[in-house]
Amino acid sequence: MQDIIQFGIEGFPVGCVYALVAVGLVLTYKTSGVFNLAFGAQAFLSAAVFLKFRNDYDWPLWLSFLVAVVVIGPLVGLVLDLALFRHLRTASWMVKLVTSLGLLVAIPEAVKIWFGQGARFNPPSVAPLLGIDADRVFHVGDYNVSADRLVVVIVTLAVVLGLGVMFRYTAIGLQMRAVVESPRMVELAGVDSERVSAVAWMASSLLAALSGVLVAPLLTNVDSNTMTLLIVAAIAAAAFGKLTSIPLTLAGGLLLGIGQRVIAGELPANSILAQGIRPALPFLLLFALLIFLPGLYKRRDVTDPLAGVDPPAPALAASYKDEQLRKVTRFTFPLFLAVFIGLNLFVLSGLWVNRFTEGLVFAVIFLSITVFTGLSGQVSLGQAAFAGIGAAMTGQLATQSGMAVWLAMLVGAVVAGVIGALLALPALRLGGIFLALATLAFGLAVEAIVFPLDGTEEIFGFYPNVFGGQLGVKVPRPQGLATDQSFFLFVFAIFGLVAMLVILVRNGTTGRFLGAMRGSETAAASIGINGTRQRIIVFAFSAAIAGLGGALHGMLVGSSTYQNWPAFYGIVWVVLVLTLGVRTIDGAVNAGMSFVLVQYLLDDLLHLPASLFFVLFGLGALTYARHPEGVVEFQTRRSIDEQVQGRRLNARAARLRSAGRLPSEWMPVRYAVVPMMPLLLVPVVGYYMGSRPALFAVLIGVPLLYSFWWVYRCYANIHAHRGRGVPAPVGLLVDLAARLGTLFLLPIEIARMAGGDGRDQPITWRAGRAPCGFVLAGLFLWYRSGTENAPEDLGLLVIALAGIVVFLRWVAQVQQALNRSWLDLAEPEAAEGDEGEPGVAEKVEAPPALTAPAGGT
Amino acid sequence: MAASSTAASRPVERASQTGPLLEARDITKRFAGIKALDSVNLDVEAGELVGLIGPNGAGKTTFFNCLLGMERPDTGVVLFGGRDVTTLPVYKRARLGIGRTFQRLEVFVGLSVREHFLLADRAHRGDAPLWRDLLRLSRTTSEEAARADRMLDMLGITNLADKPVESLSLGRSRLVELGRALMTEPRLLLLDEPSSGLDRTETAALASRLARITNEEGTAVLLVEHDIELVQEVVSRMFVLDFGTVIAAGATGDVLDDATVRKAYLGDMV
Repeated sequence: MQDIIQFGIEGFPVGCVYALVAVGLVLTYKTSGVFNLAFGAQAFLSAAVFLKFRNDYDWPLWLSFLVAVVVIGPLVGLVLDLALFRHLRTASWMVKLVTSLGLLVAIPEAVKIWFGQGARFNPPSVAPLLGIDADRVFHVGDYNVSADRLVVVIVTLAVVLGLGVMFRYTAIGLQMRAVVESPRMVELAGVDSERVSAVAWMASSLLAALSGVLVAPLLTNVDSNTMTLLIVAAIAAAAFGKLTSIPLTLAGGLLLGIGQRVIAGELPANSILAQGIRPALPFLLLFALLIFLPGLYKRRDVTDPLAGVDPPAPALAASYKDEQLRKVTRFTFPLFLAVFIGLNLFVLSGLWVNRFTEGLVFAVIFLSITVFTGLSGQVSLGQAAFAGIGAAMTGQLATQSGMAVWLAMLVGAVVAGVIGALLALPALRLGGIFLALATLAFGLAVEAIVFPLDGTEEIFGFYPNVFGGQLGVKVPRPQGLATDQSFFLFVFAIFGLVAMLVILVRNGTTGRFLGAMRGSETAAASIGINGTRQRIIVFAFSAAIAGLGGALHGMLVGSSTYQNWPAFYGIVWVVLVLTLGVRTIDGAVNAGMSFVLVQYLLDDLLHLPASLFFVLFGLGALTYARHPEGVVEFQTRRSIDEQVQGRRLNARAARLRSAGRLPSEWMPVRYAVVPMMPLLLVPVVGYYMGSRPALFAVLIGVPLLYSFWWVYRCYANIHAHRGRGVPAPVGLLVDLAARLGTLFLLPIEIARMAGGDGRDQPITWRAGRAPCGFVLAGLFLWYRSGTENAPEDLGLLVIALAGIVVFLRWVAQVQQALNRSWLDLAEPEAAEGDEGEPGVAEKVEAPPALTAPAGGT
Repeated sequence: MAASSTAASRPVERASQTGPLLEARDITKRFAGIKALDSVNLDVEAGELVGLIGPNGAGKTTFFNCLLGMERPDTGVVLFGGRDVTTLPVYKRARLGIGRTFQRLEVFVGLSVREHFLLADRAHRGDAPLWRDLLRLSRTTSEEAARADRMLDMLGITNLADKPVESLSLGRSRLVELGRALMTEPRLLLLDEPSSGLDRTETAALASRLARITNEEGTAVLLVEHDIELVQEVVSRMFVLDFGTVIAAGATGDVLDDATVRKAYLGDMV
């Protein structure tokens, strides 16, 4: 009993910290509709700054606190609101989730580059700021309370009182309470709800920063993982308050802190299971709360009386079917495959074959996201757990019971699928963000409790062995696949098979039913579709694919440990696949290859910190809001769009030529591009033949001279037409001095010419961004690798080729825009009948709105 | 099959059945202390066209939701074809033969009109086992295509078959909803304010179409409507709901002459 009370006293301050983060979570969720999963990451940021400034730079305690909490806390919140979330108010939950997940991944990793990778100890105590000696221990009856714990309680009380006063007695507090009830009503009443949400973001980020600094002494260290996962406990506390009640949220946080300490104290000290359960308590609790609190997920749409007036969601981009797209793919796809396989089998070194194999393995795992998220529109953050289960199962079956490894792999996939189905049964009644959270909790719990089991401990009469502890489990390859090339073929075949199955499901009844449910869930039920059943099926299927991918990964590496499958990867993968394209197979392939190759690029080639990898992917997720169809698909469509437009321009030109009115300025795009193409040979020659100055002079010199002439001609024509603007010699000088300037200046001139004529601008300065970025990145890469690596690396070859292709594409874009201008001048666009049809990309960006439903509810 | 065979088989079904097709007994539903529905009784005979009218806030939508399974009544039972369906989920009621349309459009954005009908046909015929998809056994069969074509023809929208549904006007979208519901061969069709947002000609076309559905297909229709003219024109019997109770029920003419109805529904305008 005495112990329990002591534990309770020790748990209370931790509960206070949970409560602080949770209150911030509820505040932003209700005022801006964003469930900010990055508050834990923000807590880590402030705790890291506090420790670094105080311990490393020896700043005074109060100044460190001021910077870490009072300045950085609200500032980060304000920036996030202004730069990101303000623009996402009407976006779907998925966009908000992906954005905040991106931050959850990017922020801690960015901080770690500066702060150091591991945990750091001796975090400074805040107690002296309140005039309390940090080492003092207070005695309450028979129980001891350390200064740090007391400070947490005092600060929390003060914050709660402060919030209470603000909500009750200030105008902004009243507005916040009103926004929580109904943001639209408040806007109708003339309140600037953007200001309210900005204040809420600052206040809640301040709370997050405060809790990070306060909790560090209790944890005795500052560690990105622990801090980032504070958010899970906070979500559990917020769920306890049903995401609305702030007092209940506080109570939930306190209960969780105390309960966790008490349970942890009662568990046996030396059991692996107990050691896993202790940190996993918040995950387990969150999972249980989500499953058993039905009020939580049903409330969503009821709270706002005006919520129903939103127009229906726009059509998904992938629903746009283009004949052109199909034709192009049909021709290039087999060619590309043949080249890819041929390179791997006959040309590339074993190292590269392994890299591509690994990329394909991850592509298989990512297909599990394609099939679940792409089809059902729901998000699972627990895919890493399924991949781990598949890998462990395969290894154990193959090594322990001598099963043929390919059979073990299939059994592993089936087991992962069955576990997925068991998870789905309760969890898939939830939808949207709540399902994402439940799967996150599941993944974290599996990582903490199940994966460390190594067969030394009895649980209900069994000795479960998952990965066999630290060393991991051996996963043999099937017979006859010892060489890199043969295993590559094996993985390629399995990938092809899985991709085909995914397409079959997508085009089959399951996919069609799920598509209908994305359109309207109630309508789907009204014709007899059992939505929950469809989702469970596809979830289990997806888990099985992830398990299969995990097994393949084990075979590739030769063994598998739980370090291969941290729950954190479950988040990174979803972010990556959604960013690149979740509806298509090539989205998964691109994601798989990026996951492997970017890691190689940063780590092996450039020796940059591994964190940068996650920062890149995390920040990449911020593009999701603009391109929910995925970057890959967006780019594909845009380039096809340009081709379609190019063909149309050529047809117009041919008509004008036969009428004898073709403007002299007109020039086929290929005339501009082809003479510059020898540039492409430079990296190839350099890679295979080494330095050949004479050859290089020709290969670079001729295109370069031609490009100067081309640039001069462009400027001259524009200047001749406008009578003002940049004269051709000046343009050429700019080009000679710095081609980067031309990348922007020439499109600007074309746009200004069109603007002067009152025509639509066929191009904008934005066209220069991609080639400019490539040039700068290329220079950086060259600099980095030149100092530390041999430049004769295949990676550099590919990057150089990609850069040149991007530049040539820019040339083509500019020439096409110019051609359009000359044609429009020779024959005004109004006369064109077939010109009004928008291209593919435009359609994607502005899908046709649904006929507005008339009448109220 | 559609018109002829179902029309032929339905009367037999009807004859074997005793009691009304749909029966709601003593439905009561409270929201936070407010009685939205207070012992509402309503019945629809097989093949009959019945109206349910009432002013805004009378509880029509709540009642509708109780019939469909979107909400569960606090007390009372819903019988369909003599079977207690009070606790069945929406999709199971749909499979028993309750079809519906929506007041606020609920279409499958991104699908064409034909795809809507094919999907409804497939859904009506049961679940989608994954293994059929994986073995490529779930492509559209020629019978399915023929059924969808017949429905397109019947509704007179064959020319729109391959248009994405979001490109259609409201009136045509409502036709798609109606066709989608009819593809599941319902014995009872619940229409939630089908005329809202339609102009007069569209409403008139709707009225004649509803009459045809009941006459030719033998489908019973429960029409929840604002537009009294439309109701008057097509239904034989009607119920009037006000403040959660049925204040009048019976033949259309009688009900509309009823003084309490005129007061409750039309207020002082008449």
